[in-house]
Amino acid sequence: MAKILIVDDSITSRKILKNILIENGHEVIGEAINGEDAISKFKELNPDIVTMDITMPVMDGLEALKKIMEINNSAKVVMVTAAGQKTKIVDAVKYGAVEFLTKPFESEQIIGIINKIQ
Amino acid sequence: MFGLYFGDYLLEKNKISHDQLDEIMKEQTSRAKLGVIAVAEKLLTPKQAEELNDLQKKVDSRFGDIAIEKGYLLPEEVNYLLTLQGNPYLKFIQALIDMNIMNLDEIESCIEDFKNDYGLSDTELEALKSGDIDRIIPVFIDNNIPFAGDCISLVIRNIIRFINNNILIKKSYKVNKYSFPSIAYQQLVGSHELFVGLAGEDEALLNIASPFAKEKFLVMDEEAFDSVCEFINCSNGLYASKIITDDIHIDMTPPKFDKNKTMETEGEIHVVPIIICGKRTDLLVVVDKKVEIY
Repeated sequence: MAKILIVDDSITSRKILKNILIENGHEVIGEAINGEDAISKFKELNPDIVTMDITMPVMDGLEALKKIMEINNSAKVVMVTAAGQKTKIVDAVKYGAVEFLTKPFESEQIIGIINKIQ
Repeated sequence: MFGLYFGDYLLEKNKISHDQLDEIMKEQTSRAKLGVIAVAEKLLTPKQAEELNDLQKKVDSRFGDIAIEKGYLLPEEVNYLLTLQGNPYLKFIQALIDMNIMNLDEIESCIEDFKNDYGLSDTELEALKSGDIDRIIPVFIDNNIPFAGDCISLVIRNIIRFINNNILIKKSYKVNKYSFPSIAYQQLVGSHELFVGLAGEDEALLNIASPFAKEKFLVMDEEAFDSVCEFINCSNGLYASKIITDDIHIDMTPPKFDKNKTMETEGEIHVVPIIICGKRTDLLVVVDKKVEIY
């Protein structure tokens, strides 16, 4: 079981992802609605894994990833992207993301990745 | 999908009632009978099919075997007809007959009227009957709209995949100004700029919000709008992923929503009416032109 922080500006996506994670025995310890919120919740909650959406207002997921890696360079951040954001995925890997998930969510893909990296 | 179009047409022409149409849509679980298919495919006349049906009641033999024996059909034709038994169009026709709403002659005549009234060519009518969405979309949408044609097709396929597989697409048209009660939209930037939105009355957008979030929304509140926005985001992501193979790079901006406003562009707004559960939502696409919302 992993303690997970979900970062996504879409409440729909957060709910779908949260349900899949909980149904598969993981604990969602927090939710953040943009990059800034994510950094603050990361410091506060110290999660095992962060799922980080890329396209968000205020501060996007790539910027938040960089800042989280500065706080803890062994943080496990899984980027969440709509399909078609290959360039951003390459950047995310460069900044230290361990994996990426694509929307629309598929339960098997999510659980496979979370179980692999936890 | 043909059933929805033809059913809608029969309703409009007062050939059936709303209750009958609901019943027909429920009835369509059984496979179409060979005689009905053979007439629909114009391999038998209604009279020949009726004769074979009468004969079948007297002898213990299959419809196809009797038709071959009588010299009306070839074995290969029977085999071909058997492959069509699950076709939704034929199941719709079968339900009309089983419910004694129309006989084969009347159906044939109504389909001819439907084709003429809708201005459909034989190929377009065949596309509708096939139930194949890849063939149906070009009947209603100009697929050659530079850059946007594929995007529109993909949004429709994704509505069928994630929202509802019983939708009705109406002929698309173009405007440069569009007023909406509610809209969820996203702008894509990069090699090309694209505006993709879904607009309509709240009741219509709820038919997208609820199935996508797998949650029953009663009003278009922030969460319901978020669901429609996220659907557009996912769909656009799949589109971006498709066109990247042609070295076209676009990026999604955060989706937004709005109420009771007008959008305007110097270019064209492609409007594709999509009917989901009887409510109309318009898919709006603008290519490479600034869109102003006020």
